[in-house]
Amino acid sequence: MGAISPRLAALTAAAMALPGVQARAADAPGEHPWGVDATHLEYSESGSRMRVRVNQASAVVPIGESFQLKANGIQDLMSGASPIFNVPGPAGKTHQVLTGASVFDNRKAGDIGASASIGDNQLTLRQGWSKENDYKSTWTSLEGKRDFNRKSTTLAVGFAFSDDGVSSHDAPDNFRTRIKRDFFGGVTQIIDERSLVELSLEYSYSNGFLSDPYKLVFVQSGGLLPDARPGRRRQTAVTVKYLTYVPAIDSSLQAVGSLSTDNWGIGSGALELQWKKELPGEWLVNAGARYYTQSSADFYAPLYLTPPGDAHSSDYRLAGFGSIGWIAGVTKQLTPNFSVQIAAERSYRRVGLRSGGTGIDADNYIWGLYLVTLQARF
Amino acid sequence: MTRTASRILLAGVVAALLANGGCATVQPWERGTLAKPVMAIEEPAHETAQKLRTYSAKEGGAAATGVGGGGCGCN
Repeated sequence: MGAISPRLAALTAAAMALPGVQARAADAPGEHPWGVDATHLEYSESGSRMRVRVNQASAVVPIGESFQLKANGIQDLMSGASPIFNVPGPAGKTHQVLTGASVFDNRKAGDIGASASIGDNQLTLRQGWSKENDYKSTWTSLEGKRDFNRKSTTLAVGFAFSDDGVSSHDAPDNFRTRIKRDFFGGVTQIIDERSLVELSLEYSYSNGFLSDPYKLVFVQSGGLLPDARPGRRRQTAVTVKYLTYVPAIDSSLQAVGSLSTDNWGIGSGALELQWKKELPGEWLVNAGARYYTQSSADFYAPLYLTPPGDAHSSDYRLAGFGSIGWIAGVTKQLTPNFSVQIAAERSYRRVGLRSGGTGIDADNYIWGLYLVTLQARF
Repeated sequence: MTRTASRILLAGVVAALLANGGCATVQPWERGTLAKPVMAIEEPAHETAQKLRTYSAKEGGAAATGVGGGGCGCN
């Protein structure tokens, strides 16, 4: 075969770096044959609440032209205080009661996976495990992708099954079962020379012990009861991501919107906007904001005046609330093979931003996370 | 989020998808802009996983973000 022209080579290179393709660059066999990522994350909450340190490492190894093996390991170190229940306070204000600051847990998780590419199709199978003092999880996922229309369109479908066990410090060996099934479908579409859209749908069905063994509810006429949630949960979510390049500012703008609903009565909405720009010296910076809002679960109450029904919870995550936060990041390509990425996010929760139901001011707090990732590609 | 609002958004999404069916195919030599790093539609895997896990642990809603990843006893 004769030498190809520089123009054809350029076109081929462009065609190889396309949406779909680019979107799963770290996954598709043959594009980044070897890869190693290492991340450290620091998460903390205001008011001396939870603090989490995460170390994560993953590797991707090719097997021939069409197969790829992946391995991923995570360690979480968690400490700090967490809300247990609410009590009535002076002037009609509801107060939180927190655990002591001595709560500590060490979670270890990992997964292995294999991907196969055949023509425009890609199939990925993953198996994962997670273990901490009072929670264990075993999960399996299968995902398929296919490119259409000269890679203008990518379809993805997936299924995951998770078999979890939940216990508590008081009865560490009494694991109660929680099963979750996830069904996912998505399409990524090139709109024009500088715009992409991605639409995703997901349905999850969980059953078993879905309550939180550490949460309680306060009943004014009768003391404390353990958190008790319905034994079945069905969640449906839709997410749309739109990404466009704006030549006037030599940057891209990204919008991500999500809506979800479930049979517990929680409806949620989220909107994230980001600006991304390349700078000389192989720097890439991004900045943005995220807004989130949800209504409370049907059975949620900050506290109960009389004994509640079978389902009852005062968990702050099932309350009506909203949050607004900022996002920032910077990536530096150090060499053709190595890059470093720093990312940060800070979120301010406010009951006044809820989309429905009830919540309390005492649940307002701030969380922040910072992470640094080193990437190697060979 | 009201049910009506959800239905309106879903209808809009479906309409947008149908409209996309009319998109002309963008040829490979027209995809230089789409190949820029700022046009990567997926974020770095570790960052995405950690952020989604934080949202999942601290919020009661859900998002359609793909399958995989086990639960945790996060509080």
